[in-house]
Amino acid sequence: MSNKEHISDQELFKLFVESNRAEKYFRELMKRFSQRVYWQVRRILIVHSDTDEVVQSVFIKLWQHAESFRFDSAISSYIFRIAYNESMNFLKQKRRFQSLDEMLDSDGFYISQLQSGEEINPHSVEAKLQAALLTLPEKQRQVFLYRYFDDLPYKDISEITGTSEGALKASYHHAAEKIKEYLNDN
Amino acid sequence: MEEIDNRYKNNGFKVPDKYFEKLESGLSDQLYPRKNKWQIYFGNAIGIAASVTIVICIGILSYKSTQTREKEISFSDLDSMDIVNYTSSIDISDEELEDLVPEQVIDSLYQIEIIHEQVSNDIPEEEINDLEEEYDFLEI
Repeated sequence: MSNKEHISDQELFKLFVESNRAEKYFRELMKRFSQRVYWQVRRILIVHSDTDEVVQSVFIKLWQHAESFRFDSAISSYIFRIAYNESMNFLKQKRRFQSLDEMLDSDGFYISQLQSGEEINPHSVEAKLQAALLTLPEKQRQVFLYRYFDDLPYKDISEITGTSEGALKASYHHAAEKIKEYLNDN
Repeated sequence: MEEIDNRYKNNGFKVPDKYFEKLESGLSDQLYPRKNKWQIYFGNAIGIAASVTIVICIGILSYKSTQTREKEISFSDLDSMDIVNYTSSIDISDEELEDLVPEQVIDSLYQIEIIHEQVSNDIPEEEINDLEEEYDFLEI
C-alpha cells in the first residue's frame, strides 16, 4: 500500500497540482471519486452511455482546471459541482432541457428508458422510485437525489447547486411528499 | 428520510462489466498518452538528425563567410594600369591624387611614365601609334 492512499483528499489534490499533474496522483483521485461521480451523474441522466460521456468530461475538466481550485472548500464538493454542471449542460444540449423548474421527462424519453429494461429492471422497486422522481420538477429531483442517495448535508448541496439552503430544504420537503404519494398510489 | 425506506437506496441501474476499471485506464490513456518504442526511437532519431543538420548548416555558413572575407581586395591589390585608367578618367589634381594613392603605387606610375618616354624616344612615332592602337592602355 503506497503512502498516497493514507493522505486526505485535499492533500492528494494539492500534490496533484504541485506536481504539475503527475499521473499517479490523478489515478488515485479517479480511484477515490470515479464511482461516486458516476452514480451521482447516472441518477440524474439515467442512461449509461450519457453518463459515461459526462463522467469522462468531468475528469477531463478536473485535470484541465486543477489550478482554479482555491482549497477553501472540500475537494469533493468541487468535483461534485463540476459533475452537476456537466450534467445540466448535457441535459440542455442533448435533451433540450430548459430549466430546473420544469419536469425533466416532458417527452417521456426517460420513462421509456426505465421501461425498456436496458438501464434498470423495470419491475424493481428502484425503477419505481426513479419513475416517481421523473414526475418532479428538476430542482426537487436534484435535491432529493443528493439527500436520499448520497446523504449530503444541505450545506454541501448548496455549494454544488448554487441554491440557498432554505430553498433546498423547501424543495426537499415538497419532493418527499410527492414521492410518498406516488409510491402509495402505484 | 425514514418515511421512504432504504430499500430504494440501491442503485438498481445496470453497469457494463469492469466499467470502472476501463473508465480509469481509458481516461488515464487520454490524458497521459503512452509512446510506443518505435515512436520513442523515431522521436530521438528525428531530434538527432535535426541537430546534425543545424551543425552542418552553421559550418557551411561560417565557411562561406570566411571565403567572402578572403576575397575582399585592398587598394594595393589593384593592377597599376587599372588605377591609371581610372585616375585618367576622373577630374582630380596631382596633389589630391598623391594624398589618395599610396606611395608604392605612385612609384609604379612614375616607372610607367619613364618607360613611356623611353619608348617614345627609342621608337619611331609611327610604330608608337601602331602600338597604341593595339594596346590602348599605353595612353596615359
